[in-house]
Amino acid sequence: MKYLAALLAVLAVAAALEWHGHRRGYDAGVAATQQAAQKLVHEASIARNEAVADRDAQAQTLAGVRQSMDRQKRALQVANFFADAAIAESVTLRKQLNAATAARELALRKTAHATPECADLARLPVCPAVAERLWGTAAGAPTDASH
Amino acid sequence: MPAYRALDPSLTQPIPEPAPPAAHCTLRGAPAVCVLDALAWIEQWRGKLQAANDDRATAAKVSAGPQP
Repeated sequence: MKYLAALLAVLAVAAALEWHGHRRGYDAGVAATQQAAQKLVHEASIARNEAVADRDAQAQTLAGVRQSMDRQKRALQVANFFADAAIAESVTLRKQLNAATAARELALRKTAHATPECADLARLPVCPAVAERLWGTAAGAPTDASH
Repeated sequence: MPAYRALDPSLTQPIPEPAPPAAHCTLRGAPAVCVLDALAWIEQWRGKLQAANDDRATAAKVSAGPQP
């Protein structure tokens, strides 16, 4: 009977120790797991914040590039408008210029015919040597170019 | 940064020289250019020069873009 009591006491102590150890290990595991999870959440939060900041910075850069391209596009449109106007003005001026040239040539001929001292200009041939220098062999007779 | 566009081909193509004057006179039986036609040819050259200067002015306007 004495041995039985001692055995029960030993068993009770062993059971208590087992329960205590089990309990303590469980709490420590839970705490460690929670700590690790919190660490992971914290790191993920930092990574998320950095990603959001990068995204915002890239969006701002992209918006700046778009604004710059829009400005250049508008500037090119304005430049094209003024260039078209300049070309159109040039076409008009060219017609006026051709008319003025023809008018000057006609006035020259009229003046020559109307002025006795110049009348001979219409009958006087350019010597062949000079004619060949100016217009090639097609004008005048190159074989006569002996002057 | 100024905006440019390519020059119009009409501003960059060569300007042909005036055609030689026709031979309305004769010299020893051969056709020859009259002096008056030769002098009139100068007026045609003057017109070509003015056209070239006009093209230069237009090219400057096109390259410069909008002016205030």
